[in-house]
Amino acid sequence: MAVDVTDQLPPVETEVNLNSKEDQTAGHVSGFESAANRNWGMIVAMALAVPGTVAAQTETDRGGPLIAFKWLSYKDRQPGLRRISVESPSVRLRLPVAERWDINAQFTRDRVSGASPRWHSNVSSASIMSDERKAVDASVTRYEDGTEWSVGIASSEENDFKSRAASAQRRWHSEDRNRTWNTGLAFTRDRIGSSDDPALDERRSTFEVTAGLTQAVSSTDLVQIGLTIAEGRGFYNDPYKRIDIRPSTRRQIIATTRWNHHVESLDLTVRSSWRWYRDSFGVLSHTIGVEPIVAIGSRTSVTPSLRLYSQTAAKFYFDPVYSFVGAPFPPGYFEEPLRNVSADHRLAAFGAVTLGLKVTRQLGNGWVADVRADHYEQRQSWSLGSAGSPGLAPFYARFYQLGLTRRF
Amino acid sequence: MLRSNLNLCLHAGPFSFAKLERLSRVLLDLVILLSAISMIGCSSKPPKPWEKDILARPGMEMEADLLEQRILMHVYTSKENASRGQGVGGGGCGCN
Repeated sequence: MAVDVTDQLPPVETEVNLNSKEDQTAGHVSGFESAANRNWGMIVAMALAVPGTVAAQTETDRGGPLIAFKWLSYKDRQPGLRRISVESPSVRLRLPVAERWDINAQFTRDRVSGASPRWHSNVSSASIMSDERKAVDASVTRYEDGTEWSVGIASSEENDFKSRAASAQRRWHSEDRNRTWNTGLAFTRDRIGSSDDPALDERRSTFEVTAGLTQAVSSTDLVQIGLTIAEGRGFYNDPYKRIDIRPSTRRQIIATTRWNHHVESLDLTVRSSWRWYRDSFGVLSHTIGVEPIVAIGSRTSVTPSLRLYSQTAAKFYFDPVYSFVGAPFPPGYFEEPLRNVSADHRLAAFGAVTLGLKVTRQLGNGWVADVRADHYEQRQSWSLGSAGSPGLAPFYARFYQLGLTRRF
Repeated sequence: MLRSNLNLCLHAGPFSFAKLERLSRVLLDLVILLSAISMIGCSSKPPKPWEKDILARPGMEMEADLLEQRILMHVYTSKENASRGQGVGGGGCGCN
């Protein structure tokens, strides 16, 4: 049975001595410490002092009110040509209501501009585009003893694309709080148009189900596995590609594994993850991520990160080999009409590497600032287990994030 | 999926290296996934209540920075085919 210990928080200390008969520990909180971190250490320690109470290892950190702000600045390019630029502010709010409710909301606005590629990696005469996307999503969470329920809605709008989504999730915990299960459902309805063709007005819907489990494996290890299956029907063609005919259904299966491990001797936390992805378009991909969190003093942490990605080509993707007519028509396009065909390079076989670095600084009084930089490269030769799709120019992107969070 | 791959190898005619390569890839995926699953519930030392202070640290959260994760997912979804796998919720975009 959960015990609300928020009224029992002692003054912030660096050590905790518990006199409870069940558990006595010197809870020395060392290394990367913030006011929030110390307070949570106290909450955990106080909870441990009462028999049968719970500690928040696998369950969501409910916390108090929160407002977070992020600014993303993104630019990508290919050899000899600057492409897309994006400036995107985002805001997140979390507001506890009464004793057992939380409201979460998030707002994002993307301003996109630049040159987008056409078929394969043709970087010349790319069309100049400009667009703005506004997205909002909100959810309500109900906390009960040993379980949580959430329902949410989301909306995203651009000049040529609108999306509406609804979701529901449930989490529940084992008696000892070492294990948490979660399940979720979501339904998304998209409406696709085109700036080049005002008459285009297509629909697409996706149903998604997810299940997962988080386990406290040891005093320094948390492991999570998850499985997601999504079924979509409707319009998947890219309206800005001259030749792009995709199946009207798409099934996606995603398996994820995450492992958070703390190395006590180094006061270092390593977060790692692996995502396996397969869809009915024929694409198989792997994503591996590693990020160690290094404490620098008591208020600063530095987090380098490495992300590796590899995908195979879709069944209907065609390489830059054209019919007797020439680009963009693939072989057989006139002699025998192809059922599905696409030259979208995102359906090709390639690999990608991201190197990132994040610095987080506790400013005091609940304020946290962070800055992050990432460099992303995509190459056909980096595709795992294959030579990759020919005819793809290397692709580069740099993106920066500035963040400011206030916890109350 | 594993059985169908085995049948392809044994009964589909001449030896096919491409089929063997695909089977090897599937088996490797299964080995990695099962290894991850075997860690859960087979731990040598599940933590007692008084051993969980480290697990409560912010860096040990599975969902550390939701805004950042959402931003990164959007960036990668617009450049790669794979998507999803980070919980439900959130609308789509015309970027993929």
